[in-house]
Amino acid sequence: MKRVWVITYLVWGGLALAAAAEAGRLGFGSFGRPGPGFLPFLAAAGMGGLSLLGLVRAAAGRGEAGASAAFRGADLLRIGIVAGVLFLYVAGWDLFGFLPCTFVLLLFLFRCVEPLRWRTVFLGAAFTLALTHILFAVLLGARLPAGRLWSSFLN
Amino acid sequence: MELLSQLGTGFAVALEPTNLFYCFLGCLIGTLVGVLPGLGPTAAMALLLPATFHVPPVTAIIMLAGIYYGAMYGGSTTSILVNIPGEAASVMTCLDGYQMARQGKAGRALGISAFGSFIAGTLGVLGLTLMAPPLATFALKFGPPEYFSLMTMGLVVLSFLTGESMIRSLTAACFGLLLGTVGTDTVSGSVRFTFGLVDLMDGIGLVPLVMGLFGISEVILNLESHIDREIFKTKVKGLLPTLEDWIQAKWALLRGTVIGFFLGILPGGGAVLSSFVAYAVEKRFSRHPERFGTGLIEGVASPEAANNSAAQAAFIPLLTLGLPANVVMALLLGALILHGVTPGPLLLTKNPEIFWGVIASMYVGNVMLLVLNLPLIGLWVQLLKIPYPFLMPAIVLFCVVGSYSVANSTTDVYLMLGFGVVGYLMKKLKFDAPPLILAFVLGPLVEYYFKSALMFSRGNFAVFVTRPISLACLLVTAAILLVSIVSAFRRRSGGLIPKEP
Repeated sequence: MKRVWVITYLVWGGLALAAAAEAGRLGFGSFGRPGPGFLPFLAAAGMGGLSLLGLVRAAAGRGEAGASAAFRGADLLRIGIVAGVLFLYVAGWDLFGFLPCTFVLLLFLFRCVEPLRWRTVFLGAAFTLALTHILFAVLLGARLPAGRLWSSFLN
Repeated sequence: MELLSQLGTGFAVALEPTNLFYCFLGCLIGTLVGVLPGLGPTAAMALLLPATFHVPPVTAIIMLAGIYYGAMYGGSTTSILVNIPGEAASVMTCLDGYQMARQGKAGRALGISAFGSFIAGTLGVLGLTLMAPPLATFALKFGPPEYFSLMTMGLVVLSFLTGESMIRSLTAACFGLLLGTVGTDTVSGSVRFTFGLVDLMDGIGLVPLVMGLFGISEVILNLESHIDREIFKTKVKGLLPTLEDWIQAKWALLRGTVIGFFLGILPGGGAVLSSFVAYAVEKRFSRHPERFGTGLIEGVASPEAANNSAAQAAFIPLLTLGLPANVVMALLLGALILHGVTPGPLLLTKNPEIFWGVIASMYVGNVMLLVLNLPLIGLWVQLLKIPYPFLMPAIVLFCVVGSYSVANSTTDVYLMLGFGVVGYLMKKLKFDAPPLILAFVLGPLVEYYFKSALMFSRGNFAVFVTRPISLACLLVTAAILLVSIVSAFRRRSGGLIPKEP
């Protein structure tokens, strides 16, 4: 538990340091004429200070018991896989287009994340896809990616 | 007289068929997300924000506002029937509402909740109608130092009230401020924190951020465990409260309404806090406090009145000062800005149709909600039976398509997924998202007013403490920080390192 908190505050602190460095590069300006890096530096400094305070407390093993920082390996693996699939799904839009990618994603979500029967999976995926397409593409006129693969076939 | 004439103009706007339809839609969706546990009004509003780009600003705000106060109505249904709060503001309703349901009084509990919500909501809008115009006139005296101090106070108060830990809440707020600075600086034209990505030149979008932090993160969190829902099996009958119920609940309703209204105006107050306070006050005032939690009708009436009244009152700082009192109002502020409308004291004079149209729509919406909640209770009970495995893919898809369709940008979708993971980690480590969202929305405004105040005073920081309103806000901010530090030391007296405030 203590290790999780130390890592957490180290990450926040690192982020604050990086932001402060970038703010410095952007330029603070003067008090009478603040530059583009002025507020980001203040925010980064605030974040850094709070991270340091949190880190000291975490290192001393104080005050963090109330937070549910329990990460289970199995959960993290499951979450990592789903997050990875979602990123791959969006990456696939450019080549395969929205509709086929979404159908495959829905099959995955219905079958692998929550194991349902295949008939339910196909029906659920088709219904959800149709609903989304009608709502966003037909009624709201959203231009969803068609996919280069199909576009080149059609041309 | 002038007030009535302006309210009349508002009703003319609110009763236009399109606005009436969107008000109904907002109330319906609000009730729906209130009924369904796991999807709160913030996520629902974020999901539907892109859909409002096709309608005029007043219509969009009427619908989004309907979702918010509709969720306050709907949240009580699951609290009473299955002991699961549909959203956070209905937690206190579970205590006595569910006990009433177990004693076969579910109909009476639902009835007093719906009527109480209607009465409190309507009184809340009446308060909004009376208080907003003079406050907007007063706010015209505000300059950059006052706005900066007021926003800083809002951020600190929200961090103080929403989270368990002041350190974690303020860290999230600082992160939100940093995220708000991504993109092109409007004063100098410099490009900040874009990592060379052209899509980030206009900054991070509100929709991907909110959808990621609230929608996707909730889905990821639910991957860890399965939600077991207890389904209420007995029939719900007798929705009209009896005369005895009214006599028992009348003071609880009134006290809840007043508490909710005043706490709803305060930054960080809102529906959740007011329902907790109203319940505690009711218990304190009661002749039989030991019976609270065993199925008392006052225990349902008071928190329900408070959260509905607070939901309406929260619009006062948004419409008059352009300051969001809570995360939902921050989202509405973002929606107004996206629609090219600047909220604040000038909204009343520059866009009276929006100002009064939204207020009038709330009167209409409250009537709609009463009609929706009582006869359709059977339908809401059926909705509770939708299994989560069917809801989850739909939520994911709505988030993905919603954030893509704002700017037809896959970068926004990647950002949303990234924020989803960040939101999940923040939830696990109890870093609160509301201060982050509020700081993100207010960040550009804070920067603008801060720079303006300093330029105006030629770099003299005394400008923030020599003006009475600004000084008062900064003193409140300092007092809150001091209180949290002192209480932390008290909890761990003798330690060199303070226990986390």
